[in-house]
Amino acid sequence: MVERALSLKNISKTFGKGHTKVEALKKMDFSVAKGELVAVIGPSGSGKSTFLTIAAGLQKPSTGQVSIGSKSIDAYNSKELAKLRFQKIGFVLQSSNLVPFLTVADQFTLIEKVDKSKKKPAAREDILQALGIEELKQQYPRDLSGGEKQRVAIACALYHDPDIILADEPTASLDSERAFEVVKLLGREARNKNKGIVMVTHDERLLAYCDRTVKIRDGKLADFIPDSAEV
Amino acid sequence: MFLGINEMKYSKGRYLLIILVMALITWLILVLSGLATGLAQGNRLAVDQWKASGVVLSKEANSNLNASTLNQNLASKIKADQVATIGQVSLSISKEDKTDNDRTNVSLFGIDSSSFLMPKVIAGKSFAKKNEVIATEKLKEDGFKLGDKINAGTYDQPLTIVGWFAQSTYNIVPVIYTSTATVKAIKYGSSEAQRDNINGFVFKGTASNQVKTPNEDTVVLSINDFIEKLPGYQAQNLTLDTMIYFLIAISAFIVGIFIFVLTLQKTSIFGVLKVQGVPTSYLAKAVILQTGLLAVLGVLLGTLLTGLTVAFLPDSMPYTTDYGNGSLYLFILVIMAILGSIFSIRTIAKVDPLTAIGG
Repeated sequence: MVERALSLKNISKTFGKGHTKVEALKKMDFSVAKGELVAVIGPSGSGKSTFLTIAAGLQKPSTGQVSIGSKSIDAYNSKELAKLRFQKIGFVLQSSNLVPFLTVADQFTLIEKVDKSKKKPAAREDILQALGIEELKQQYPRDLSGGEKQRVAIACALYHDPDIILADEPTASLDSERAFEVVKLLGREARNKNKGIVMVTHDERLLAYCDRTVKIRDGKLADFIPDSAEV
Repeated sequence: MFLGINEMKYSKGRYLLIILVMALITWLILVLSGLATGLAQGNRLAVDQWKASGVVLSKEANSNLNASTLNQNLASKIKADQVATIGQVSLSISKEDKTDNDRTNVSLFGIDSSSFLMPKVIAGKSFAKKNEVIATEKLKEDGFKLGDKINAGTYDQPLTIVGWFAQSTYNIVPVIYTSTATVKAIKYGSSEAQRDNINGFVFKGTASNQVKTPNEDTVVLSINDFIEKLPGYQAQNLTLDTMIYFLIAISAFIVGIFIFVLTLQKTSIFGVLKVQGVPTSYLAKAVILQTGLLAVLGVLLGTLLTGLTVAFLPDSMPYTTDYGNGSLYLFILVIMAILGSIFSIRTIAKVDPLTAIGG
């Protein structure tokens, strides 16, 4: 049996009450296995962001169960959730999640400083080399190109050896060539390091590099048919 | 601390500005405090040197030695370990051979040279004959020399400086000691009615609350009450202390607002870090430690500036470095700056990591 990195069971999320009630997610089931890169697509307002924030434990679903690995996180409080995010989940966000006043090397140091569990993080040099950014160590984010920033962000996400990587439109600010490069990199890391990777995107050209694609429409999950009939 | 220091290295300009503001405020506070101490000391130094525990003055004098008149025979009725009579007159002096109007204000005390009020003579000799005086060596700065004959106010006989004693001032002016008889002659002339009068008594060795008033026209004051009631003393100290504490409060506001604005600018970074699971406590600690570091650096720079300033202050400025009070102010400044940063912590706590995703 395939080991699950993340699973969402019967997830619903409603905002507001009465006339203003909005159902962002309706009884959604989703899971990603270790070593798998799954793309989640959907038009804006479809519930993609809600899906991602619930998967990350940033907000609680109205009903349903979220599990990271084999553990349900439903009962976690915000402190435990923060710890969980820090240890088990890597993030790659739309507009680079780098701290502007830290050099690339110091972005990694920050992770070490916050981590008090003293677990030996995967060697920094290896990750930098694997992502081809070892030359950028002393640079500040402002000196990096968009592609370089996302590569550093991926390196940071991997640094802590998380089980899952959640990527929110990681290619939004990149040209096609750079975008393909970043997605290929994510896929490679998923397989090499046995991580479950969920990538939310609206760019269908990237789907060829993903193991599986699901589509969110009106808060429901549907299998994606790679077809232009939708457009 | 890691975040704070790296951010300061990255944005040197804006953090240097905060340090500079902090340094300027520290500078002002330390100089003011030095002046306050110097002025206070200028007012009371002679009294401090008496090492007395209290004074006895006439009731209607309103705690003012100069305005007090008592019969000197009351001394025997004051039940204290040591009792000394004291006469005091404020006047201006000049060298007798001087023709210009360049005069020096002094405070002249009439004492018994065998009493505990008598200062240690460090050069020359003690006063013995009428019209002989000993003066604080501070008067050397005004060109007075041992053996100089001086005119004192409207007194028709010249006084002679026969000895020097250490720095001493009363009401900011230099002090001269002479015999009770000489002060009486200056103060009352040859008036027979005033023959037995004197300004008051100073006692030592017995706490002021153990000393009963010798009669109903007199009051007993502890030496601290007496100092507090020196003309202008309290008003001056209150004014300067108020200024200092206002400055400390203002500095807390300025640093607090600076840090608040910088925190607001960083909310998106904090949001992203929170998404990644960096706890709020880590971010809050970073901001507080950063503020503490800024405050300490500012305070040190301000102290350095004060040190330089003091080296160039003119002698006429009554500046005295008060290390105890100065360090206390520096400590309060740092604490207040940190307190000022605390209302930025709420902003950090309220940053919603959700905003960093999607949008």
